[in-house]
Amino acid sequence: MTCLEVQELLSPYLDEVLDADELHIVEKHIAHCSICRAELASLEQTVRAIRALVEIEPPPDFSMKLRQRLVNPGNTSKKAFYKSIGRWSWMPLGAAAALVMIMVLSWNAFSNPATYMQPGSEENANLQADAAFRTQDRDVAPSDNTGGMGGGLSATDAPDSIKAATETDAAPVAGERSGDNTGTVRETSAAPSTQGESKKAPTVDQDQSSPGNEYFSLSVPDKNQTQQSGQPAMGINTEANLAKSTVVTLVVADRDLARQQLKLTSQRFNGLYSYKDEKVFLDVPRENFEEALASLENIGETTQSEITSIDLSGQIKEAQVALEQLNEKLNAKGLTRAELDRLRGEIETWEMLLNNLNSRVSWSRIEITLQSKN
Amino acid sequence: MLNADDDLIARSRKGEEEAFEALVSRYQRQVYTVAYRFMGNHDDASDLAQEAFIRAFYSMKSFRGDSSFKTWIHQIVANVCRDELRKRQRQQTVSLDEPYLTEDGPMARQASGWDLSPEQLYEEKEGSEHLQKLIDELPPEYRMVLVMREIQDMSYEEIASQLDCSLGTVKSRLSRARKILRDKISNVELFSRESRQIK
Repeated sequence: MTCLEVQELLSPYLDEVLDADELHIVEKHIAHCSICRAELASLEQTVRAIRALVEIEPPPDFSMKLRQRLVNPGNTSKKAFYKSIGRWSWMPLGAAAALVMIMVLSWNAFSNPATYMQPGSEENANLQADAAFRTQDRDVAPSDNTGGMGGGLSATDAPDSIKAATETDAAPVAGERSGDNTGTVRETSAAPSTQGESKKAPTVDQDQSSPGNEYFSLSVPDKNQTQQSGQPAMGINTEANLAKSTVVTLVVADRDLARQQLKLTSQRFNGLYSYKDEKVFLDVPRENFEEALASLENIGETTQSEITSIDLSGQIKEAQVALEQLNEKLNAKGLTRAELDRLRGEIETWEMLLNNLNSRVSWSRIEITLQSKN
Repeated sequence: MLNADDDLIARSRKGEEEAFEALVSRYQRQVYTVAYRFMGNHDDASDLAQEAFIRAFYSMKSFRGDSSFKTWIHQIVANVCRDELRKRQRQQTVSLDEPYLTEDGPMARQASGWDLSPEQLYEEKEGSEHLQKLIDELPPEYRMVLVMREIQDMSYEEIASQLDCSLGTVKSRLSRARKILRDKISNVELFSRESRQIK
């Protein structure tokens, strides 16, 4: 048995779940193989480190909040993003109309072959389609359901949805709490843009200004926003908010060796390596982008197409303003519970959008197509 | 402890709040910790640990006592977290937070590599936070297996049952999860590791 095969058995060896034959093989091998002994030791140390993690004290209000939820199951203390956006039906009519428009535009984008697909996984195409504003059936009653408040606790008082959920706890069933009802939003930058290169002050397209639009996909190079390497960014306050990427063809003698070298390159620049079919993707912190790109010349002959820079300043600014306004509203007195829920949901949506925009600015992608010299 | 649990369970079944609260008090730390290891943040941990106790309370009548309450509540919180993670996987958006598909399996889009050895990890003051961060970076299916095994001390069979997958899948996912974590922790230089493995 080779070292590689033995190393596949080291994890179950640690857990003492190998059968007698496997156990014999592993013990015989590690007795004379210092490499696999070191591998085993490092795995063991890792396991020890995880198991040494200490227990964590719940927050002081844990019991109190649990009691509240038991008395009134709809009164959850924390509304996760996916939960809060389930309240989309309470969104203002205008926002709802905008959503419909985005969905219509998105449908057009689906049928456009130029629409960018996030590499890395074929499932991503489906994920993109599935993403966006979602509604979902809750296991518990809606948050504004105050029925049962102050009533005594009894297992027989359980809402049907909870009873149904608990019946499956002992026999796990995947998707037990499913019931998502998804809408779909896709970025539509592949569609013709009306923005010209001479445009000085970037504005945000109506369909790009919605949280649902930007949140769910990576950059789609808009040809009108594309700039050649070295050119200054258009518009005001843009340099800080440019999402950069590029496509490179790399001609190499040995593609396997080149992949290994690209992995090292990604490490060297604190980036990440991934691949899909014949393409390799290096995602690097933006500040390392130019240097990482230049280093590719050490691996092979590069044919660089162009650096795409998308200015996200307008969208970032809009998200920031929206968040400020929503937070101001949140501090207003006399808000009803439904209004509070709606505001918090919108805030979480915008926060997610802003985080995504910032990530797009912070990380730059180099898409590499490897070609053999022959 | 078991006898005391039995009494509290019996009284909880009758709807005695105090008895159930005593059970919560007894196990909330464990349940919360498990939820935190699964989810990686206090908000989700609090929400899902509470959810687990709510489910336990409302299904108390179906608890037959074949296993201990501890085992049962651990299964429930694992189920709750598993469902939440899978739901989020389905809803996952194409963003920079999404794991990559690499030759070594999906990896988080985050620069890895830091200089603490495994020993230093739990000696350093912030070591546990770093380690939790690395666990958070694991793809959910790997993270679930890892937490169930290392934190909840479940057997391979129990994990396979919880995740509705084969023993082989548990074995391979756990092995991969440990290796990914090991690599992230030790920041082993890629080439040297690969050259070591090839023999």
